[in-house]
Amino acid sequence: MNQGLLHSKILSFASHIPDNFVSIDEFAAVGDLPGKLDLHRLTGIEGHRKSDAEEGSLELAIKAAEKSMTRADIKPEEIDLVINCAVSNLSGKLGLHISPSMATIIAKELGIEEAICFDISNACSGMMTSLMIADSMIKSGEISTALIVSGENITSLIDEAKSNNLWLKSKAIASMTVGDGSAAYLLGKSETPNQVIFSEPFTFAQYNKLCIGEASKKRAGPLMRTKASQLQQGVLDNLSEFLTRSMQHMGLDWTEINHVYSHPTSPKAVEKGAEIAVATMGPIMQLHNISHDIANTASTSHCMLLEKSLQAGKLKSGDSTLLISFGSGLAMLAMYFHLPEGIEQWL
Amino acid sequence: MVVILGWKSSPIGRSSLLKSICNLSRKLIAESSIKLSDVNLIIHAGVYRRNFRTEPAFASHVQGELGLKCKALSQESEHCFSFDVSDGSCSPYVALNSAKHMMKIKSGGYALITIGDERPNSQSYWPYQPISCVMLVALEGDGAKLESTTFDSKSFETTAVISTIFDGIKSANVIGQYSPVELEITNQNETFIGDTNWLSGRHMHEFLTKYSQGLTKFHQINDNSGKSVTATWV
Repeated sequence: MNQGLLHSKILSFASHIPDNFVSIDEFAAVGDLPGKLDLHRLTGIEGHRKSDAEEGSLELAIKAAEKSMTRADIKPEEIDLVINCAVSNLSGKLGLHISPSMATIIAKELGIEEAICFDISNACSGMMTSLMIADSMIKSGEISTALIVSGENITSLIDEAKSNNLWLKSKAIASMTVGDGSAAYLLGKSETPNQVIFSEPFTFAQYNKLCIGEASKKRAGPLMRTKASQLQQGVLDNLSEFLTRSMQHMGLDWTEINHVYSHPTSPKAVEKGAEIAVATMGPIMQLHNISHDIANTASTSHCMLLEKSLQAGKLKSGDSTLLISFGSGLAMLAMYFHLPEGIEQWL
Repeated sequence: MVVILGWKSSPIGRSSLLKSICNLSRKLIAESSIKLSDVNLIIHAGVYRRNFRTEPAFASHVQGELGLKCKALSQESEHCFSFDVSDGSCSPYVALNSAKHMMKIKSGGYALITIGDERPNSQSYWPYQPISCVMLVALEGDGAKLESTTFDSKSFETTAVISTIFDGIKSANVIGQYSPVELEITNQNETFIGDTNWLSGRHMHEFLTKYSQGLTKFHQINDNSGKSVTATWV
């Protein structure tokens, strides 16, 4: 089948937002950090969500996937592609999943037997990268329905950071801005064109050493070391050109986009980006800068924000939505889509 | 259809995976008819990275080391996109299929697919001698053409999943133990089937060597987990 004749759409999305809220005062009070650093004032983050003790990336991912399947009324046998794009892939006991793809295990747990399963790793931009490939597979006629899923079990990074002398290892401080959560999108065929459109994807590899995630050398689980201000500056330096070029590439009118979600490294960082966006592109209809109580949940972040907007009754069927993604590497890409019909009735 | 325009492979030896991959990539590009700047996509396929690194994508390190389009964005500037894929030793075919779709999205150009693994740390048991393999691919041209791939997860067992554990005695995160699935293998159509204990770089090295000699057009990779992929080349 010819690419260009087939179309795709978002059938549903879902996030599992853990109930357990941990206030920033409990793990990064002003006196805890070097130089009386006020992380709340600096980032706008009030706290994060923490998954249950036995809950790892797999369990979190399955919760989001099941919710997305219920919302779209999709059965396991209808799904022919599963992509997992988590950065963490950590069990509840902090074992890092290695092989085969986590997507294979997720599919098995969900009773999806015939699907192609693999993992994509592109830091916090893994979700957009995966959606982009799934979209192309649907438009080429190779598949009909794709589940893109991620569970991020990353708050152990906070404990790892705090086990260091932060005066000496200031690059660990950004680890305190993360939270747990999961996300799933179901992508399927559409009769109507342009329900899902992607920007050009970019990797600015000159910034590729500014955020590193790997195994801790002295304790179970991972560590993350980030030169946060330099990484943020890399985004801000390219943002104006990115938005201009992306809107042109996607054929969109910025002022007609109902909802804009940016990857929330922190609410304050999003504010800085929004200033550039408004100066370059004009007013934003609705910027959902609402990560203050969930923090940065890596690849799941946009969906976590969408879920919060949904719960707040802010989303309507057919609304146009733009997700802007940044990931360490430095990857930048965006996805535009129309919210699924019937979203107001989702549980 | 994705086409391999050229490929190179080499044992990683005492080198790092990044150095091994980048050296091979430079040689491959130098011997091809294209310039490095014609590459606008890098996909890395592998399982094991130094110190179990999870971010950023290994491919972004390859892009940075090659100095490929590492510049600020303008309305006319050309850029590269880099990311990783994995599915055990079936990863190379995930990369080839992903490249096919990404090259459609990015409207042509060339992709560099890099395949390889390295010992995560000295504390982990490591029976492998990894081979790095790099492939220059496009949507058309002369070379090995990937006609079809079939992935099969029916024999996958969760007991064969590999993950890290924290070894208190070594005080390090190490590769945990697992129970490999013994697949019943029936060879048809002169299919080349590698050893289930090979890592993905070796699978592609051995197959492409035999393909180049005109010995086979069919390739099957059986992963230790019970997963498999079968590919037909023309």
